[in-house]
Amino acid sequence: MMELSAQDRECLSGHEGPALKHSMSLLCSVAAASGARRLVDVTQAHLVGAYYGGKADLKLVERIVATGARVAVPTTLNASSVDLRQPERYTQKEAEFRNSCRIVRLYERLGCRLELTCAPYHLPQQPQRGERVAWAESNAVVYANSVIGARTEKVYQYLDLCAALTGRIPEYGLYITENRRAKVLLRIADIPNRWLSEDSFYQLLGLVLGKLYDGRVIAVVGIPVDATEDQLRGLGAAAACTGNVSLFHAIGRTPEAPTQDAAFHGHPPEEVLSIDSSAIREVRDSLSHTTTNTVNAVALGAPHFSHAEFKRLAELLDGRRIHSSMRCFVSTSRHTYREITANGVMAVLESAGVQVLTDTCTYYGSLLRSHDAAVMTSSAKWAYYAPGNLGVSVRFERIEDCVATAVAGKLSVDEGFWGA
Amino acid sequence: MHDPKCVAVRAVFEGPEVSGELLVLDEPLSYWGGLCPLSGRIIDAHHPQSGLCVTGLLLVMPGTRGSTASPGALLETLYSGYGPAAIITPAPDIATLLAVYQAQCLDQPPTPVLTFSDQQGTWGMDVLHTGDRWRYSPTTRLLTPLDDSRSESRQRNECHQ
Repeated sequence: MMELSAQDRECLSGHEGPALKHSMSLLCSVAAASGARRLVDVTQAHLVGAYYGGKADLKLVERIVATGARVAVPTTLNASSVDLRQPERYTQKEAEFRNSCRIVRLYERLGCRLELTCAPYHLPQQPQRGERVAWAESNAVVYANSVIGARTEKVYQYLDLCAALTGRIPEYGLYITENRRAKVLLRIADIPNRWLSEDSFYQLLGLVLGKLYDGRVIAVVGIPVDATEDQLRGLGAAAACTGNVSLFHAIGRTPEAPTQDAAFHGHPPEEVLSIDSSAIREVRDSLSHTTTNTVNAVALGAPHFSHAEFKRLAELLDGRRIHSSMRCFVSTSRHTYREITANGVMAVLESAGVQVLTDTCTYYGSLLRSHDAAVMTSSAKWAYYAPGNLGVSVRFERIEDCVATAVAGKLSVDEGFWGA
Repeated sequence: MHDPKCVAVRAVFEGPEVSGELLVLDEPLSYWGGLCPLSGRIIDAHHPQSGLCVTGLLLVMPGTRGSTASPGALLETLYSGYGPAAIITPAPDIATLLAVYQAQCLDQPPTPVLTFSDQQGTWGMDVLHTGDRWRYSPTTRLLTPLDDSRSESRQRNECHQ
């Protein structure tokens, strides 16, 4: 039987209004399905529903707003389907913009902050290690758990809203210490040294890790101690594409895995797996399913580009301009946009012809839809989802190759990098 | 032991008796980016059963994966009438539960969400095959095969738009 607090029962009885009654009832259904014994507090929420998904979703959220409900904890929003700051530049369909505005306004009326980003970990109120939050957005979930050591399940759409409105979540999955224990050890061997400092290597490793994932937490051994936060997040974001990965450990690098023993909570691994460079090459080949050598757009920033990634992009451009036959889009958060505007990086990128979008991702919406040529990206997540979402063909390449191609106006890839 | 001709289930979300053709997915599916709400077709280019249509079928799958926006995508699919008749996973699937719960709040007919009973274990997956016709009974909590078994349209998996 599930334990409910007095406040939980008040919500369930309807004394706190219909929205909280509905939310608590749904929380209890999820608790029952997931075997949770009780609900626990969360300190913040990040909601995935801020893009226009369709009529049903709009109707549902409208009903909740009409009750006058407000979020109970600080709540941010995931990316929207359009850039709400620059609709005239980046939205091709009026209806798309109107619908996106409607849904975002509804969430605003619930008290959500107007930060529309898939990278809430870049915002100032980053949770602390051990803190319980309710984050939707798969890449943010892996990041919170693995890189920060905060605790969140992969809180699905609607469950996230229930958590925001009540400040409660079923105690299940990764909210429970025992479930954070690594059970599978993944060794990476025979990896060329140059790969280990390359961002896209970590994303490819993430795709492999996601495919190997069978529900048991994986700890990777062999990741350098100086792997960057961006590299770890690339690994996690990619792993969440190919598998239901919400937590990984990198032994010697991530907070809950200072040692193998710590990652495995003192137990031996149940299974030891090993991958080498051929697995990485194989997954790289599978990601770029295009035969065309014509590229006329470059899409960066899925998940939202970090401050460090912007600096690197500006360095790689080194004063050169994007070729007139090319378009180069970068998606980021308003927060990072403000930072790069303040420190002058934005001015450099703008004069190079780079177009920076906030609030959204170019794999939503119509910006890059129905292109004849392929789109090049340095994001495995973009490469994974864009073919289905947009019908475009994709080439996944290193950021160096993306920049070289964007500047040259034609395919310019250093294939030798991935050689033996 | 178990009657090999039926599969014991429990309801993650209650729904009425349904019968129809099975579609058994080889890999988990992300509804968002994986299922088209306006046709019920699997659109994840990386899914081995990409291109097949789930509408009106008893959808059996190892689980969901990928985007946390999956409940919204399944909700839209159910709301537009292209949803499956039932969804069956070896373990309770939260994304699916959230979608069907909200669909019912929007006055849609309930879609049963089922998981194998504890006694049944996961071997239920071994007897369910794409194209076979089965019935779910909420009173007996059993999935049973229909006598006429295989549907003629199984290879075609026609999508009615």
